[in-house]
Amino acid sequence: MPANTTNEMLWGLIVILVILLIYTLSLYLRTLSAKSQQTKNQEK
Amino acid sequence: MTKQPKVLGILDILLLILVPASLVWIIFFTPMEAVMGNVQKVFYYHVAAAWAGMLCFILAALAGAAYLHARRLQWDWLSLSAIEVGVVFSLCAIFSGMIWARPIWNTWWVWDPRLTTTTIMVLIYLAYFILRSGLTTPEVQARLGSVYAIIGVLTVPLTFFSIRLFRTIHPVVIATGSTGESAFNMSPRMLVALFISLSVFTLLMADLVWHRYRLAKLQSNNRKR
Amino acid sequence: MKPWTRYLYMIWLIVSKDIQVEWRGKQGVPVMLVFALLIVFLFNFALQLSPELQAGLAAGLLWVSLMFASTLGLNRSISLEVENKALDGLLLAPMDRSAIFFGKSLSNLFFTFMVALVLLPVFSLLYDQNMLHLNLLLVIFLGVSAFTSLGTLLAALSIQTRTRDVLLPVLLYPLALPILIASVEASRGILSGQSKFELQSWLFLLLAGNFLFYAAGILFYGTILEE
Repeated sequence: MPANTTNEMLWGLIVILVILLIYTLSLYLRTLSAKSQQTKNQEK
Repeated sequence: MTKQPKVLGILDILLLILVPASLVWIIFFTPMEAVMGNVQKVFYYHVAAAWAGMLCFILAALAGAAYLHARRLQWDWLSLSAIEVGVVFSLCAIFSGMIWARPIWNTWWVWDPRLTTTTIMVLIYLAYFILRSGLTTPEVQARLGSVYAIIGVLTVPLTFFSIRLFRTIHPVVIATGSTGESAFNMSPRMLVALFISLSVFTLLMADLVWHRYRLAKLQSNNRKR
Repeated sequence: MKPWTRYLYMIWLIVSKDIQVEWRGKQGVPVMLVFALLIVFLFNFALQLSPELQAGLAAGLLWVSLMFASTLGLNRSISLEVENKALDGLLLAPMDRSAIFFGKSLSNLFFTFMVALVLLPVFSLLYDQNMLHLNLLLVIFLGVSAFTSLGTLLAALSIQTRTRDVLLPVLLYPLALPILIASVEASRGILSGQSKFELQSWLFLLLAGNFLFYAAGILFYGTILEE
């Protein structure tokens, strides 16, 4: 009889996805700020 | 800012479909492991994340070598991007490994050679970021960062073998056979699922590194003005 | 002089210069030695070690104190050059940069080995266990040699950062972990009387580490110190 570890499976997968999501978000935000910096530079 | 290349856009959309699809595949279409139960399914993403992380660090070392050879900052952007993404993937592997270990071995941390090596790698590359932040010009950052990235990858096999050898001499209480965590027999359907997640994560890694590379380029252009 | 003998002569010049500086100033080895002894005493109380220390603990304690002490020496070795702009002179000297690396890491090896030579009888006294084996000396030589060669290389990296020498341990220790494991395990084996055969793989690891770090030094030391 397999152990009932469905919760642990979900947690394991969620942790990976959340870390990747946070990173993607940080990448997106950093790119946005770099872009706004760029337009600021061009206006000067 | 140059416009986003078409291939990258396609890759983004492809991954938006592939990642949920692989998730559904893993949860619903893979067989349940006979002893560990469903938690074994973390394995597919866990291994894929560790694989993508290792790939990133090798890529970073190669890009570092290319920088030292050609002295073009583009290579350093690639090296830096690969290391950042590699650390993220390694953290995924470490935390999912811990969540897996909890129900199976009743402990969060098992000093498994692979998991420990991954953690040491994260420490090595955290030191890489500290090193870079302590240096002033992009050229010095690139030169010293490249050297460190290469040496870092070269010591990984040494670390792995020394920890494995250490563990064969001082085994921990858990008995799961000689290969440790993957001591279950892989059925063909499990292999297919592993192959799927490995491919998806490799694509994801390429996508993230590419985006990070473009960010590095943007930041470098901003600094020049 | 043939190029090869000239190269060796250059290395010797740097080593003897470092030893001369140390002999006149006496600022490096004594500090390392006292530091190592202090660590031994700190660990003794922090970990509640018994006078009859197990071979494993003694080997671990020896290596941790040795590596911490060695880090001091590594930092001093490079900051001495940078402080008085002596490094510029070294770099101007008509020789291959890898000769500087060899000279520096060999002098660091020499100083740390000196510390080890004093530590061994002290350990034997404190923990009532004869630690003066020839094989143990060989292991210490190999382990320290790998550690100091990697350390010499990384000290040249860390000295160029804003925080100067603070960064060295953070760069060095994760990379030196296999050396620490192999050295401790080999020493533990010798102290508990294992045969040479059982220690082979650890000795092999130490040799591989030595090879890797000296090769990295030859390849990259010039690149690191480039102006």
